[in-house]
Amino acid sequence: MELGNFVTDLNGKKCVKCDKDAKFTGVDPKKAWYCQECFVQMVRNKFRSSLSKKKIYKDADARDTLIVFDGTLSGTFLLHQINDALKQITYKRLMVKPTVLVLVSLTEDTEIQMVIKRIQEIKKSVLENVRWVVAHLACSMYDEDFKLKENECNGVEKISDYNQLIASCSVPTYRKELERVLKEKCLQKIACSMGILKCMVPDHADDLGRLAIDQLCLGRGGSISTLVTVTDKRPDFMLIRPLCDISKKELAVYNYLCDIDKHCIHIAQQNNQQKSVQTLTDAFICTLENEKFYSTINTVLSTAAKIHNTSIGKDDSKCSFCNVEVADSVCSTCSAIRECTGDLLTLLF
Amino acid sequence: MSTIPVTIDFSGGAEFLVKAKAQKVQIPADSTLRDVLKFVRDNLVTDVHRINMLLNDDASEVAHGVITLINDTDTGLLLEYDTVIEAGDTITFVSTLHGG
Ligand SMILES: [Zn+2]
Ligand SMILES: [Zn+2]
Repeated sequence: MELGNFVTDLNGKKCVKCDKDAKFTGVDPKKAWYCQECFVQMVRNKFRSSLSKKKIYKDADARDTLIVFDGTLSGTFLLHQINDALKQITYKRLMVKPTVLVLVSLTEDTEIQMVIKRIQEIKKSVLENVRWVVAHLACSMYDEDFKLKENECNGVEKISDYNQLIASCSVPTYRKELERVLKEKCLQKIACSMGILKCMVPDHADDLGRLAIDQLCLGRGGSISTLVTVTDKRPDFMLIRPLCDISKKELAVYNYLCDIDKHCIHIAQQNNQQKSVQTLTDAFICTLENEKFYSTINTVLSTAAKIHNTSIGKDDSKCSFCNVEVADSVCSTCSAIRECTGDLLTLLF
Repeated sequence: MSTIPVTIDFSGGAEFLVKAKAQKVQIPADSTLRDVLKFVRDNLVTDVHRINMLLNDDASEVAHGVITLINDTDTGLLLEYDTVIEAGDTITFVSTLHGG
């Protein structure tokens, strides 16, 4: 790889869309560079075209959509895109009827109260005329029927059950995967309880590229296409990932330039993660990016999008827990998770 | 040794690791971006336990996931760490590591 002189090559470049000086690059600094206006437009277009390509809001019905806000930079970006679309700031009107779902993962009551306070502030200026609900990931532990309450964090009474369940899983890799599947369960249960069929999540390209590798390692290769692309139809609702083509770096720069990163909710991360397939994937991608292989994620995602399962189980049967296509009612990964997790999990299958 | 005035700005969560979000400081003339990283480590970082979220071990580079801008231009389009800082420049650190 000859990388030595490309840095100087970029010095003084013009925007690829207009004749202004380039100030920002896409994921790969060798491939595209933009002036500030064109950069912002490029990121917005990626969001918008992910939705229009799949014609998700073509029908007049089913415009009700849960917009997941988790306080991250991608969650903040998603919130503002929906806000701008409703107010027709950037595009022609997007036919979506949003309900914001603030998804909380913190477990201390004081921290949860802090989040509720911040939300009160944020919704004064973003999506101020739509319904907001706050719910904890522990809502995944509810039985099918539960009523969401306003102005408080739903699911707090299930936090100890939830923590107990996660802690009972003895293998770190399976524990992280269990958290991922429970998050989907949580979204599904909340959407169903509100009679909403669509749910937009803020997963960005970096998240999804790592997920694709994780899922290959977990033996779910045949299903990774649905897990990492825009639309993911489930039996009773649809997950939509409109940020699947946008990198974390693009989101961070966009949020900075548009001065919306003030709406992130910053939470200190725990650094004491046990080694798992997922942490190894993170380290692997990190190393490649540090060595300037910027296109890894893009390559993984475009490959993953093409992988489909040709020998699906009879009559489209799906794993009752994680929803991948399998011949049996539970996929082998979920069986393995169940084997190393306490009894609480059986209640959820 | 002569010094030049610059503004160092922290964003995207990086502001919680330092005294203030935007700071006007004097740095030695002819400093490069790499010199600024050491200046930040030695003078601005207050949360020393989480300094690894901003800089690598010897402050020779930023941590993975931190973006550096000079006057709102990606340093990848300049001379990266060898970019020479001029009087009045704004150096911005945008973190992608926080949130949740
Ligand atoms: Zn331009
Ligand atoms: Zn499964």
